[in-house]
Amino acid sequence: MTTIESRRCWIGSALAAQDEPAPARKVDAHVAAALRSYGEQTWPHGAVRAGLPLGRLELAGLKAGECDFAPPAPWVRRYADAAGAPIVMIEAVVAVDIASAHEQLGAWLASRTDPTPAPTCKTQGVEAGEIGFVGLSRPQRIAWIAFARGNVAVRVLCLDPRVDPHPDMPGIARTIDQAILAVPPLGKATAPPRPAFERLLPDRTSCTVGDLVVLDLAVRDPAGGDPQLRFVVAGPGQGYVEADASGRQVLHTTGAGAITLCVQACGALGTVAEATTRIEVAAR
Amino acid sequence: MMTNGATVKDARELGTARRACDDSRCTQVSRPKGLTGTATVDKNAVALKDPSPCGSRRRKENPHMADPGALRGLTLSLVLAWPVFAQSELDATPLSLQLTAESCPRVVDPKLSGAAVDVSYVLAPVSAPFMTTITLRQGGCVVTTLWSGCEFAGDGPCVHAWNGRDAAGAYVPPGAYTVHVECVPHGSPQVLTVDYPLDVVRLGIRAMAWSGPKEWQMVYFKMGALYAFFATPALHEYFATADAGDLADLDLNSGMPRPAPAPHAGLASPPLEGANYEDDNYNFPLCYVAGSTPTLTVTFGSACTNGSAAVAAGYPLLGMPIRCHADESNGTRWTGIADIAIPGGTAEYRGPPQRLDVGRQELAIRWSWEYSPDGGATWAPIPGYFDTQHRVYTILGAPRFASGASGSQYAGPWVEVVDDLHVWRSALGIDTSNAHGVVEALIKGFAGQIGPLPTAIEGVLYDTNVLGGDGGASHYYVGSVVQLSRLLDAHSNGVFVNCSDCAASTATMLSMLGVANVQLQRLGSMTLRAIRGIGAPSYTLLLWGSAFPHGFSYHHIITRNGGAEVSDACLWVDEDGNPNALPGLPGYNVDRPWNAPQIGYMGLAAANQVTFTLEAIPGLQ
Repeated sequence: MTTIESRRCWIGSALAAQDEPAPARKVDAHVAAALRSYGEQTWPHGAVRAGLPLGRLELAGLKAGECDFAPPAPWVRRYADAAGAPIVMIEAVVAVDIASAHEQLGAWLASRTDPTPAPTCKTQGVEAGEIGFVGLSRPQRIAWIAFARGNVAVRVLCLDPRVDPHPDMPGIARTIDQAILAVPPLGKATAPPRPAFERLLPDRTSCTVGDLVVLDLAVRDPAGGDPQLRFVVAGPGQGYVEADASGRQVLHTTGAGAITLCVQACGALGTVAEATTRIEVAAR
Repeated sequence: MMTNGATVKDARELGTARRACDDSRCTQVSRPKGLTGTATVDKNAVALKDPSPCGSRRRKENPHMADPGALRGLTLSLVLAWPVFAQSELDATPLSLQLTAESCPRVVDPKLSGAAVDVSYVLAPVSAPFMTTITLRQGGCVVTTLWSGCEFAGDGPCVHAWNGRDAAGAYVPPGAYTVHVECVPHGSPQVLTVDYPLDVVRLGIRAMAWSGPKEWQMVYFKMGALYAFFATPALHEYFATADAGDLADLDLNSGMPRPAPAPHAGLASPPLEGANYEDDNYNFPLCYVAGSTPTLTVTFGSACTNGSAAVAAGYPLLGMPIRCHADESNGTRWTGIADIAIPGGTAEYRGPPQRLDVGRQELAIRWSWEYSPDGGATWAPIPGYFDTQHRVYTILGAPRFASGASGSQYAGPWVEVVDDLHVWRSALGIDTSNAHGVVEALIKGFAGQIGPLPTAIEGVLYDTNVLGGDGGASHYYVGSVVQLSRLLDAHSNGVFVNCSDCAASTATMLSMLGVANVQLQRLGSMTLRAIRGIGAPSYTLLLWGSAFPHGFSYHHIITRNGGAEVSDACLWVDEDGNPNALPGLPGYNVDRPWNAPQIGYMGLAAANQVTFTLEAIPGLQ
């Protein structure tokens, strides 16, 4: 999930900070212009939901790949044909509210360089979301469908619309939309729950380059799944994190200097939280 | 064990002549050119006549042999001048029958490449036949026989090469040995002997850390099939050591030397060991600013194997320091700042300045060792060498990234980006020793369809429905970041790209190559003239098809001087003098003036006045 970081996935500077209020909203001027030109003020508002179960989403006749979780980029999953060639990509953003989901939709529209506006889903007979738009390729070919259903923004892309057989883009969008609708609505003004860091404790806070630092890490996913984790090692120190044979996450230090280790967790419904810890890595 | 066949080979290599005698094992070896030595007969040293592996007969020992350590300490100068603790039974030997020591290496590592131990001695008189046995002994016990057979005295020394292995084919472990040469004149009961002290050691390098103020770690963006950033380890970019279950760092468990890892040739993913990163055997590419001087710290290995267990490397030797040299294949010797080799210790070298342009080079370093018999006053070579290969990239200056960005993807230039640039500038023959050349190589290489580059980068196409795409939506530029990793990974976000994808990608690529002041330049709406989009087969005046206006709602390009000159890999302008008509003449946009008569980007690309704003380079994924 993401787009406007302050609203979609607020980044805490420490474990305890994950419950602090988000900073004020600021919309990119080009996105704001796109929203105006596409009449965003008239777009219907649906319900806020906890997210989209993208990791469990199956598409008929296609083979699902791993979820690609890399904030601030949208949450992504690619689907391949029977031969294993990826042909469809789903991008999803589980925003904190409906306005932020609309902003994501606006960002996708604002990226178009074609001066002719993209047609709406409704005009193309695509049933997905409360509001949506279509990117047209050659006649009878849909290159992408972008829509918002409540606080969830989705863009489904055909990775190469020239290739036959062309995927059933309206059907895929409808399947995604139904998966969103299957998640119970939350109360008004209720933000979708994010994963919660219960522990992020390195077994030491200083070490010598080359040392391994074991992380005591516990993250709870409100959706009940195992959160997908991503480790961002910020320097000047260097290293990487990988699981050892017993499943523990271990930081391998490979360069001297302070490391700010940011752990990002994506829940099963696409909400994101993160926590950081700092480790001083001395030279040998 | 040395065989007659091997001796023949060695004799030929040394330019020697030989002839058969009655005994088919007999050879006569002439003195090879350039092989000299001074032999001194030590009358205190009396030959052993004991052919048994571990002599039990009463004998008179060379006093030096009783304590090899003391021997090394006492006879360093003698060692260098072809040491002889040998003897001949002078009283009983006719003057015409002589065995004189010639040469034998004092310190050897048989596991180094080209490390044959040449044992040489002189027999006299010419044409006299001898039965010779050369054995390796330790503490008086025969470890193995190096060579035995009949040979004739020639007008030069007899030379026999030993490969460091015992009769079973296994390398002898490090330690202090004696090479014992025993010659029996044909038809005589007399025995002539020579002993050479020999220290077998195990030399080698287990880690190399490249450094210097202008050295940068390099970045990979995949981990197998997943997207994950990995910076090459600053701790050591080259590592060849014991994995779990291995006995020693320098050798395999079989006793064979551990091979040097080849430079990792992958561009997207570092080497993996199962599902994890390879952490004990790798050789990562290196990156320096063009023209800078690398510093290299090597860590020597500390243990080897004898085929069944780990054993120490057999040095340092008392009073005989060992030093290590690094020589490039062109003969350039790296300056040894601290070059003494100690097991587990480090040495440091400074190399020559790197190439002056942006690109890639393959660097071969030959490591060789010397020992000093006199505590550092003079040095003698240890036979053999160890070769390592390294891939070195050069960039224009310090890599630049989005302000405040953090993560491993910002540790340095991406391997695939610098390699792409090298391929492009090589294919197009562009000088990349300055920023303009780097921009030209990158813009033209990214766009492709020029010279030997048949397609755009990763085969992408401009995102117009005429080509099969749609309305020019971004696929890789997602607001605050550009997903360059997905673009470089066979365009995994789709084959179509728009101007923002191209501008954000080229801006970040140039910046990580050290080009300064690169910015995105966002243009307002444009009424287009004839253009050719990236990947398109030809120029067009109908970018979106006949039913739609030929224009852009906005366009993204790049600049490195605040908009005065611009570069654009996404489209070519038409330079045939009539930019409003087809066909077009390719006009590449490399540092093209923004607004200049005839050649300005704005006038060639658009029929209207175009506004612009400048934007910082985005973050990277």
